[in-house]
Amino acid sequence: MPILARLALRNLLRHPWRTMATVLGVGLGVAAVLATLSVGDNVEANVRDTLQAVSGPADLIVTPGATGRAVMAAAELESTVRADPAVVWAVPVLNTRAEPERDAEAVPGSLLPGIDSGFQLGGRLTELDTTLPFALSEGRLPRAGQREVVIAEGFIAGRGLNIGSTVVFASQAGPLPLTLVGAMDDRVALATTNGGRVGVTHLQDLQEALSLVGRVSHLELQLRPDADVEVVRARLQDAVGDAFTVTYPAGVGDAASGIVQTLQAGLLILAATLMALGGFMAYNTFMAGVVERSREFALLRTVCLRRGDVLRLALAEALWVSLAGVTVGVLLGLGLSYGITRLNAVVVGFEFRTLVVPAVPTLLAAAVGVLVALLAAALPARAASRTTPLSALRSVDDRTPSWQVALGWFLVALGALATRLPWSGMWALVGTALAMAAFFAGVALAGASLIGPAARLAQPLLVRLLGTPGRLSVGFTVRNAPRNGVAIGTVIVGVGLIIGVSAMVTGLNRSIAAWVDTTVVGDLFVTSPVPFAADFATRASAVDGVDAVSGVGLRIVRFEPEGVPRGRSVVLVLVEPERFDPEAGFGALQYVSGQGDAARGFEALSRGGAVLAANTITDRFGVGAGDSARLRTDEGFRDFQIEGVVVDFTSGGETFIGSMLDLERFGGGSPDLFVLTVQPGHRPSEVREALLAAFPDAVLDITLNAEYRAAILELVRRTFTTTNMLLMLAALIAALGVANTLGMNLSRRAFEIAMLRTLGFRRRDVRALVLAEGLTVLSLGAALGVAFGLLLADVIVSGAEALTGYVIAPAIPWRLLVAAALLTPAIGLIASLLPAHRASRLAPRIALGAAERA
Amino acid sequence: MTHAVTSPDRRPPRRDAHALLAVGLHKRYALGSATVEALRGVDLAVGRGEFVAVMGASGSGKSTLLHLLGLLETPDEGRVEIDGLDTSGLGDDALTELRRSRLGFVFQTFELIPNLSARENVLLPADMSGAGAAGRERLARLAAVLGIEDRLDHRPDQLSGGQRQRVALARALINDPVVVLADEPTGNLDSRTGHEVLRLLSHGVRELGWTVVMVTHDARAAMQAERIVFLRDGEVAGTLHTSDTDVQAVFERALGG
Repeated sequence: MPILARLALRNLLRHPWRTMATVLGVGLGVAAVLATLSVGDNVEANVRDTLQAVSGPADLIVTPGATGRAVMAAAELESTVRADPAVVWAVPVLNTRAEPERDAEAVPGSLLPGIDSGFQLGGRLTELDTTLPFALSEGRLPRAGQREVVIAEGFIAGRGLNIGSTVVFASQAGPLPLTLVGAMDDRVALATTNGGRVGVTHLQDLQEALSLVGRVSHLELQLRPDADVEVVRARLQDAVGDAFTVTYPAGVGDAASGIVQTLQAGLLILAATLMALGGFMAYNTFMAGVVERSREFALLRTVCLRRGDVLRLALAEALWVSLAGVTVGVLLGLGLSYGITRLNAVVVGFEFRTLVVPAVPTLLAAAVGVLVALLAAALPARAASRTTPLSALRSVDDRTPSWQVALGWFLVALGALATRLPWSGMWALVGTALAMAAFFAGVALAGASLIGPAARLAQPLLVRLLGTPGRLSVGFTVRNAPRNGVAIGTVIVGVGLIIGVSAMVTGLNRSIAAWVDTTVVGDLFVTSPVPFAADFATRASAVDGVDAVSGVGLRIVRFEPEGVPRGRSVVLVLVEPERFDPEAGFGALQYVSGQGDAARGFEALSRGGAVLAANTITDRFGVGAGDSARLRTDEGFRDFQIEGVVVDFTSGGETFIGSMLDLERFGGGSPDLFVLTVQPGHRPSEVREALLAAFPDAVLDITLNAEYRAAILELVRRTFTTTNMLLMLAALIAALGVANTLGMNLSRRAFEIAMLRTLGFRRRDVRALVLAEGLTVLSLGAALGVAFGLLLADVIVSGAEALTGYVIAPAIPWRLLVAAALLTPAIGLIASLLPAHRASRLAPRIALGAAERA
Repeated sequence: MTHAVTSPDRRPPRRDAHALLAVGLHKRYALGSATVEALRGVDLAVGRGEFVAVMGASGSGKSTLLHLLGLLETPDEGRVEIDGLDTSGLGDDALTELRRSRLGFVFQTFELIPNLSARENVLLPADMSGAGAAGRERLARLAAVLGIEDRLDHRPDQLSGGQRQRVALARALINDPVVVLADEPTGNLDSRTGHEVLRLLSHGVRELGWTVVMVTHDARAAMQAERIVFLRDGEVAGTLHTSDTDVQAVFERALGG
């Protein structure tokens, strides 16, 4: 190993705790970036895996034009696709929601309508066993005409079912008794999906039972091994026409992308800031290291090193730190990625199956980590290389030149100004970065002029609490001002980020709560794991206490905005127009100013063939009221006039609201949800009981308004768990920064502390001295951080609006402000404990010979 | 006789030149609004294989002289020649290379790199000048002369003061310098250990041809040199050959007598 690399490594190993803290700081930043960048890949991989498992060995599938629960006639379609020479086999599949002998327990909810959580019963040609996407662990396959079923073994065990017994399924056509003849291996393909709530019967039996003879949900195709799948897909698409979609098995899963994009975009800015915070901390360490080792650098300059050699030596240290940081960061990032993906699985409603390590994000995060560490080291390295040989023979003064202090205040003012400027769109990100960088650098430079007054202000309290050590700590804090300034800068950025992001999150939560208040109107929300009977609305209206009944259809449809070649899968919410009658309806929508109103919206919904767009659609794709949206229907793509833009927070905001009159264009069927109001004088909970009694054969999940709102807000809260995880990392990095700085202050003042020990300071006095310094630094950082955070909130909100497409009004997170005021000094105390302990262990004899000098 | 070179550490030694030559050195420092003249026209010539001590009271200019001779500072007037090379006008890198190849430094406080072993400390200048292999051969000989063969794999904090100074001396000599500049080399050592170090220095000068310039307060230490140069108020106040004097006379002269 070259001598400079070896020397750099030894220097780092000389202070293992400090090096570890720096490595961890860089590592946490890398981890945050990697986790954020890999969220999309992981969600996509998991959704694709699930969908691939459902389709088993199929290379392509043919679905109706608009996905959802629509079925299609199979015969003609089968002959068309089988005519293609590349197709080895094409098998029809009919899927339905059914529920075997279920007590009315709650089915886990999903933010993404259409990713179903009910029991999936599939009808397949079981005699073609090579086409089946599952394996049996016990029993045999169902036979045609025998009304038999196989179910995932875990489900069988959970429900206490036995092979040979009859299982009665609640279906859209009423009770469907099937004999259980086999158990599907839980580890294989189909049985691993939908939480194991899957079963397969013979296609023919299911078609007959549901009165859907000749109709299927989709066709599965296997191609010759040498076929070019994309070429065949395009050829088949031409052959079957626009009424059908030929796609990859995993292709139907990209509806999750909108939500993931929103989540990922929101996290990205946070991750970038964490990386910057890690970089600040690395800078702090490197710079303090240069000051601390100026004598050593000077000696090296005297005996053998040129300026360039010293520069390379300092950069070599940064390189070692960055390599270690990247290693730690990638490992931590994978852990974080696992956590975030699992969390998203719950929020978005897919199953967690795998953790992928995407090469590009990993390399990108690693490169960012190395770059940030090297950038952080650049200035300190330059400062080291400018050490004159002569300074080996002279003492070094830590005093900050007055021009630096002036520059610092200028930068603080610039940072504050940057938070006030009207940044718009993605420029808000630049504004956020600029504000944070300027504020941090400013405080770091002007730290000395801040710390003096603050320390003197704190002196009476510290003296009262700690006595002489408290009084001495003021002098220590002031004399360590250059390093403490950088630590305070790190704390300010950390606390400011937490406050700023929390203001954004609080504002978003309030916006969502307001949206829930406005739009989630109705007393009861009725869903079912099986399709509703056609006469449900009529029968429900007749139940005592029920006032209005309004159906809602949820579909995932293809949207082709201009400039997006392959289009996007978006959520289409189909509503009954009467609900939104401004005069008589009980529903309401929040229209974006200047983008339609309730009357125009009602008229459009009553007419059909038109939609309302969510504001996120407008922001992301640049379409608004008066434009048209090209959506795929059963008859191919069709333009729908956009008659208004409304606030909507479902499904990552990529949502259209259409009229129930258009249901047949999007697969037909029955509504997926009914919203009911209760007549005055009736209690919703009593009406719920009456409804359950009125529909004894149906499997109804009936949620009260308060429960429904709570469920939505709970999903929102879960969504922000990821944000909170990253904010915790910010707090951790800031705490590490403070601990690191105090440790370095200690190294610098080891001689003085030892002298104090010689003069009679007890260990606990020394501990108190260091803790007081930590408290002063943290408290000052926290106070300024809170102020900075409140300034930063506006610009972060602008950035978040640009990234997510949501409209957010920043709100002051009062509880967090109080928590920050109380907790930051507590964190400071914890962060100071190790340096304080180290200081108290310094032997008095060090005073008789400089320890660092050999 | 002077000449200019671009790569001073590549140049072969000049046997006909002084090892060290200082001519008319002036150095001024600003001290607040006042200007302090630390050196006022100092001339000094040190021949090869010579051991010269520099003595003087505090503030006499001996540290400044050592800085100028060690190329750590540049004079306001005058010039320094190392091995016949005029160092005036050389850039920072050239000065570093010259220090690395032609000068050796020994400090009062040893100044070893704490996280390198004694061997690595000694070899550092050789490695940096690309003479690692030659340095290793030379290290074996120096370690034997200085009596540190069994301490080479120890870190500085595992060595006694005398051992640290001998390691520092080995580092100063590893590149076969023209001159070793020693700044109070015995200042941090007890008298017995200090005497051993001085004995090593004078042995090296007599038997191995080293050239040493030593700044010291200690008259006994100075007596190990062949010649003592006294500084007073930034000027050379006189010279004594140790063969013609005794410790008491040196002591009195150093006090300004």
